[in-house]
Amino acid sequence: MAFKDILVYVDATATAPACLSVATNLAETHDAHLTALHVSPPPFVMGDFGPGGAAEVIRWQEEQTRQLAARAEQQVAEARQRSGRDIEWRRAAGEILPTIRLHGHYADIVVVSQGGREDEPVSVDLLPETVAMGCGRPALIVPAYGKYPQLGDRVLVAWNRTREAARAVHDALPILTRARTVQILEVNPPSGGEPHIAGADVALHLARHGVKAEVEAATVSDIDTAATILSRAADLGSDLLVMGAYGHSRLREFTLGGVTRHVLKHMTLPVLMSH
Amino acid sequence: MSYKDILVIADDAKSAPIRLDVAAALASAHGGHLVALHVHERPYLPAELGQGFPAAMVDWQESVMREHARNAKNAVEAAQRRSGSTFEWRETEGEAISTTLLHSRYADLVVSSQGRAEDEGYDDYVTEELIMGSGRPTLVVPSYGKFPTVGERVLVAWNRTREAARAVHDALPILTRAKAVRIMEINPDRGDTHVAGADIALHLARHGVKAEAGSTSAEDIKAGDVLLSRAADLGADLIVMGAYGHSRLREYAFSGMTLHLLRHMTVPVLMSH
Repeated sequence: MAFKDILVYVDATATAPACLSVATNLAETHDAHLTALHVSPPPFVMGDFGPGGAAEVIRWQEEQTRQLAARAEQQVAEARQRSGRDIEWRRAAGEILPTIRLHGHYADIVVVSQGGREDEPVSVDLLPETVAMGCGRPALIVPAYGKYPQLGDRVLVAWNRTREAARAVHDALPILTRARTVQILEVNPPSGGEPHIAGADVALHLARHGVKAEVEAATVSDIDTAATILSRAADLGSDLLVMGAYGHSRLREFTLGGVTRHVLKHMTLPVLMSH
Repeated sequence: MSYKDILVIADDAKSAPIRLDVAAALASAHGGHLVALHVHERPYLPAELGQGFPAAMVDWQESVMREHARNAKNAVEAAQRRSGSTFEWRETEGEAISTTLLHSRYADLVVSSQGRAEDEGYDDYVTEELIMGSGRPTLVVPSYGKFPTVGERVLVAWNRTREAARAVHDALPILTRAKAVRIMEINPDRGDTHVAGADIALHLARHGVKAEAGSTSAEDIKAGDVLLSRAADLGADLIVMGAYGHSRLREYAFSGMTLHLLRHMTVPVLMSH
């Protein structure tokens, strides 16, 4: 079981090289085809700019998107050099989020940046949640700061027996089967009347896939769940967190659950999220 | 890539032998562990009757449940003899839907029946809840019919949504073993320069699946009919499709196409949400 088709979004910002590194390493491990996508949105004009003004604004915007695309393509070329791997460059035109979502359907996993850096105003807002909630594929979210040369060796799985956690665990199998250690953290396992050990069933199921996992339980009050998970990841020296992404879609946006939002904002390690 | 853990719903409905046989065949093809799950609901004790609830009533309810469990187990044992596959019999107590959903999350694939009014004893809500709430693919087996093969000739309904992406990827263990895979895009967007379904065929090729892509148009209300009709034309023994809907209080409101397939399926359908 391996990833065969990986998609990485390259946004031409300072976060892109780290995403590209994570993606090329993953592609190397799985001998997968890697596509680097950059989307150029159509120009739009808001307000009155006088005669000929609108055309000028459009020309300016088109120049900006051209420059961004050129920078993204350069980042991909550099990643090819560094990794020695072939990367398919794909520039698409359209509204950014829907276009990324569409291309994401054709991948096994989509690598994106956490984004949100104040020094990078052009980074795509809401990208991680759009991919996690809308592609029907797992999102591998790379923190906006830092480098992550090792990913998937020491994995922490946050398990809470929901459909989203089931999605994430199964999506992560190609990584879990190759990991050196897999720790399952069951947060707030139900007590009383449940004879099984927290997380034990999932460990047994993973064992059938050849994954040897250790299980631990944590009881926390609701507000602490995300902090507990991230803190445990730090204690364990984890290099990847696997968890479900919770929320629902409202028209064109997603309303995310509290734990999901907190982790997206404060992640200190790459996170694989699925919905 | 194969299904290592397959869960099949075990009960004493008329559709049970058909569903158990399909599950056994899949487990055999994938070398997977097969679990037959039977959930008893705890006897119903109306709160208002409190202490005075006759013990005889409770005993009667329990004996009915024991009989259902006995019949379900007999059906599983018969399926075991027919197929030569081993089922792990798992009998547990709890609220039917939530318990079934919980167990489903530890499986790679869940096998359930279509459920229809005439299929006595089958809880059709189970199938709907599994599709929408398990987070795993559900192989829905028609309540009637014989299905000597499942997954040799597969029709994949593709429409570029997250649900379809889920279904296709969930079905990979089947698609990689199939003799023929046909991708059908119903009502592909006008003005697209790419061949309908072609990107998904290329992606599947990277997984070693050789698929033929095609498209068709149909008025929305007829899309389900068109899909079933194509499946028949192609001699498909399995349909793979996304399941669309959202929850409405205690029920799910499914899209027209999903509902149509659930009601009228003629071959097993693998659905994912």
